[in-house]
Amino acid sequence: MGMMDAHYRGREGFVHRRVAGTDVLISVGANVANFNGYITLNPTASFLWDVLAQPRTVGELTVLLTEEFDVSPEIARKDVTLFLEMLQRNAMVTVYEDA
Amino acid sequence: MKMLDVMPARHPVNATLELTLRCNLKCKMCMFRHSDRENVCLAAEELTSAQWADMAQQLFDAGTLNILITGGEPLLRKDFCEIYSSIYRLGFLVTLYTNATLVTQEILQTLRKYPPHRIGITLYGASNETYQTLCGCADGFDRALAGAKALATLPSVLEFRTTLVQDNHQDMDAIARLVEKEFGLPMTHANTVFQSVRGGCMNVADCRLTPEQTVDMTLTRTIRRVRQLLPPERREQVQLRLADPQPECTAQDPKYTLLGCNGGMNNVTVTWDGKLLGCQLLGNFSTDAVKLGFAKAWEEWPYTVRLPQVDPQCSACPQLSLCQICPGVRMAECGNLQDRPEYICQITKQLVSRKGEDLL
Repeated sequence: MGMMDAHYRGREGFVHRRVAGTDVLISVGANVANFNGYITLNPTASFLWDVLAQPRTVGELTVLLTEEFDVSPEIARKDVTLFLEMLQRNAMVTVYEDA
Repeated sequence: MKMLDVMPARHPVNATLELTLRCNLKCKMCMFRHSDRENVCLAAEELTSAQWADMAQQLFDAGTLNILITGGEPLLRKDFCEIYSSIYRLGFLVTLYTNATLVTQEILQTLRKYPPHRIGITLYGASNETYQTLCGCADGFDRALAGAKALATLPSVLEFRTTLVQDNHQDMDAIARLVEKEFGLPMTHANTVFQSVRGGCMNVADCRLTPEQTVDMTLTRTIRRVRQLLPPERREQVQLRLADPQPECTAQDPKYTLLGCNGGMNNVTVTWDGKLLGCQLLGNFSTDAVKLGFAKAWEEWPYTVRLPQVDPQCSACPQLSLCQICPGVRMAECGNLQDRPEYICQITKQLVSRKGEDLL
């Protein structure tokens, strides 16, 4: 089972906020010392993080992204994949291989 | 008000929450310390835990990102854990300032559950004797070291600082060695110790370093830090000289700010009794964050600021770029907002006399 079949969900320990017109993700748990405690999100990352509150596959995320933004399915899928890889590298997402 | 028309937008991004003015230590150089006789009255007027929780929610709604929890000594509050948790859970970047002498198991458990992003620990000496002399606490050093070691088990970023005065400047190297040995971290120190503000009772002028000592200490520590940061092979090649700082675009221009800094622009303080200040040092200009609510108090605060013309020697001074003067410092040193503070002026003159000198 590969990346495309797995379900992903954002981990707890982060608070998504809008500060002075910018979306940020604040780390509020054991990760506080990483990445200075917060990450700035662009609009697509902000959208994806919010929908990752529920377990989602790459396919579902791609569809949701194309519905929300003016982007082709190919580019959306590439962006989703890169974003999930970044989240995995930073232990910010739980992966359910058999969900 | 014309100034408000040309100012950039104000956002309360950085908030200092002063949970209490009370402290278990009695440091001779504390700017904020009140007499112990006032403790009952002070405690009675402190915001309650419910009021702090509500204030934090209002700050959240106003877009505050960074919260500094400080005092006095914030851990002195019996309801510290309750207040801290309610603030933290909302989602801020939280910094906690403490003297580390009051770290109980309950506090440690709360901080482990909700680790601050940064903890600033102030050490006042490297022995109980120094703590007794300077802070009136016979076992202060043992307690602070034990507390700091407990806090070091959290995932938070730790920073160590000290304030150097006549009673402890001989401890400077020992404190720095201790912090390096125990925690593998550098230590910073407050460059200048200012006189008491906002009704503080300590006679700071009697215990602080002379202007010469202050500049020496600052330069010594800066040079040492630069040396540490340089690779060994470059230490002999690099020259370090004190120069005029690069002018900052608009941050120091009173035309674009209110106090000549970020105070009241992006920085805000909510005091122990619910006042909104632009700067923790400056109690002259305030609105009531409890009665008005934070948003309204923040909006109205600029209209409270009235700065008089300052001493012409100051306004025309060619060394202004090296001087630490600001309305808060002027108020602390002179008790008013226009006079020239001699101590600060002497420090600037000392700095100017060292300009161009080879420091490395």
